[in-house]
Amino acid sequence: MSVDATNYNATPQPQTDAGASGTSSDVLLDVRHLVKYYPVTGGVFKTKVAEVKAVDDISFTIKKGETFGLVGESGCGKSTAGRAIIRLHEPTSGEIIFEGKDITKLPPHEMKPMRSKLQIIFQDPYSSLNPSMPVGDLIGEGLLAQGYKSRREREAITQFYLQKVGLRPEYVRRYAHEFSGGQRQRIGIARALALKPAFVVADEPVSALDVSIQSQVLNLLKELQGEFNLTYLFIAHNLPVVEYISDRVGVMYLGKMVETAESKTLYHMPLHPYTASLLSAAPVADPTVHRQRIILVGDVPSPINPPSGCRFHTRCPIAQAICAEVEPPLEDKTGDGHFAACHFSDRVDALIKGQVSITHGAVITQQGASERIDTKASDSPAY
Amino acid sequence: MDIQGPSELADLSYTGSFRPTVILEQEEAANFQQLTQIELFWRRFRAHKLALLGVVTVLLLILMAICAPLITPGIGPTTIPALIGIPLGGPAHAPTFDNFPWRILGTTNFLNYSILAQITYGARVSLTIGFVAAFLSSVIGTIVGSISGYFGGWVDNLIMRITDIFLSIPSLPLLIAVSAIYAQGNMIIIIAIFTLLSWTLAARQVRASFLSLREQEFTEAAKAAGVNDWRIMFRHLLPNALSPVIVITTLNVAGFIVGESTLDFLGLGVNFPPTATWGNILAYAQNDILNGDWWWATFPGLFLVITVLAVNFIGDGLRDALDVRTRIES
Repeated sequence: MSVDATNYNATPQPQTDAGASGTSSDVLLDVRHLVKYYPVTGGVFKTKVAEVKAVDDISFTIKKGETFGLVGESGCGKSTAGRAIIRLHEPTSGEIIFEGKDITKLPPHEMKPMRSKLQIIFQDPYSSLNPSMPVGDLIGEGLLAQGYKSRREREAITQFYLQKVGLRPEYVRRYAHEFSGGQRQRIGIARALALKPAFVVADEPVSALDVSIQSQVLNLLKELQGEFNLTYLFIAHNLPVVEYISDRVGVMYLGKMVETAESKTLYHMPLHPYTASLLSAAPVADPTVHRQRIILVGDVPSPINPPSGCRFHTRCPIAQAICAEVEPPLEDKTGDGHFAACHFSDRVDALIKGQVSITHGAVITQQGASERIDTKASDSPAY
Repeated sequence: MDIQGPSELADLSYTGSFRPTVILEQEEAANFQQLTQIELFWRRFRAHKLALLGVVTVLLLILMAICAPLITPGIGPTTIPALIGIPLGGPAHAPTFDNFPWRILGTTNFLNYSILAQITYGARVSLTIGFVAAFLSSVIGTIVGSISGYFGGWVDNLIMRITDIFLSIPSLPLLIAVSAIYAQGNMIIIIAIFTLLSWTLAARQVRASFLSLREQEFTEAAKAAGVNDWRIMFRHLLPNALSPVIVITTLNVAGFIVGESTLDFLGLGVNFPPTATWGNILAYAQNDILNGDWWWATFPGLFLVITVLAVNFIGDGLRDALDVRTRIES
């Protein structure tokens, strides 16, 4: 995959021209230096006393028809990024080039027709469906807003998409509370698709669902992607799910993009210690397997006052003095589109293998369950 | 296709195949068109028997107010019995069937006004004040609260400080002052005062509901589809915020009818004579109840209680009918 490096360039040098010229025609969405701060107000007059730097200068591109996974722990800004990209929450600064057009500056009357092309599927299938509206209105609402005046036409479209997501067309008269979680999520998907979007932000679409339903919904999303030529931004914290569905993956930490790569590459050869520790934390469904765990210590620092230099340096197992001073740029480390923002990405492989002296936390071998049964008898902790 | 099938099965029913909508329309149009939302609303309301009783009661009370001259022919609230050939003055008469219907609910003392006539004519003013003021204050409160809660920020701050000002006004002294200066028994002014003093309750309630509802993902979904703010407010959020407003409204109806009697009690409400209200009947009855003339206060009080109960039952029914989760037993 050849992606223009300038699009990922997070260095402070001006690169808008280079980025624009480097955008190949199959790039659907180009996010440049996206920033979203939320004000923290205080005092009698509600003045701004600080800012939550939820998303702090991230750049990436998404190609037409691909699925870009966005992972990171809770509060790293991945959902905020997803919402800012479709201008559900207004970005503080940065550019979002969608189909060659900067949508961040569009006035409301031009943004409204654009909204149908940028849709979102929400995490919570309960709070995302209005309890007082029948399913037909839930889905038809957006169609009405986009100018489908005929009720009959709206109903026909609604029924079409209900069937597409595996629900019966006669459910248009039912209310959300009459459905199970999986069915509700399907309704949410139908609502997003009914507007014929080109780009869909899937904000943890399966994390609220029963495990048995998750794979059905994931497969449905994949099928629909092929059928309607959709491009997804798939936000999740479940690494296997992201690996399964994504072509490329971006890892976020504390409002920054720390690594982006093709899904396979990222999972097999992470170049950022944070990615490595995330991957080592994912459970393996094999009780006999021995795993190298990279244990991080401490909590995620506050996004109101993030650490200097590399934001991960306070918890990084291989941090050095330079990490607290110089912020590492997100740069192509291998020359084939594997970007990482780390001064010592060449040591990550050694870190995973436990061959490097660590400054924070620990690298341990986690025993498989079969061994643990033995150790239990001697009352020693398995972890 | 069987629409009665258990809904859980549908999760497994996705086959990837698609049947053209045209065929489905012919097959199942009848099923879709079965019940409109209004019909569903009516079904849920109808299932609430007490609410139906409440509606009938309120309708009868309104009918009574309109048809007052037919109920007590020739006798108004200030008709002095002597004018229709019955001896003037004397003590209050207990309820009796003599000279029906003049003394059926007893009479006042001194001029012997008919209490039945006072109640039927008085219902006109009392019900109007109660219903109109409660309705207006809820409508104003809902609109103000919706705007405040939905837009937030400085709009919310401004509106909430205004409501704080209204809330900080001690209502009784203001009521007394304003009605002493302006009302002079004018029903419209009294309605205006009640509305002005009480819209804040609904406003704060609706604002609070909106603050939580606008953070729900379904609001974001509507925004993502390009639905405009007013439609989100009134179509998406308001239906989910109405239950407490209905309760407030029903409580206000009762509160205002009684509130009017408070003003009457202080001699600042609707003047009697010439206009009777349930409130001023009660106000005049207060001294006499010690003389053992129980009927003078009891009967208007009874009507007040019946009205308040009926309105509360209607409120319950409305609340249930507006909640789509209420099960309908067919």
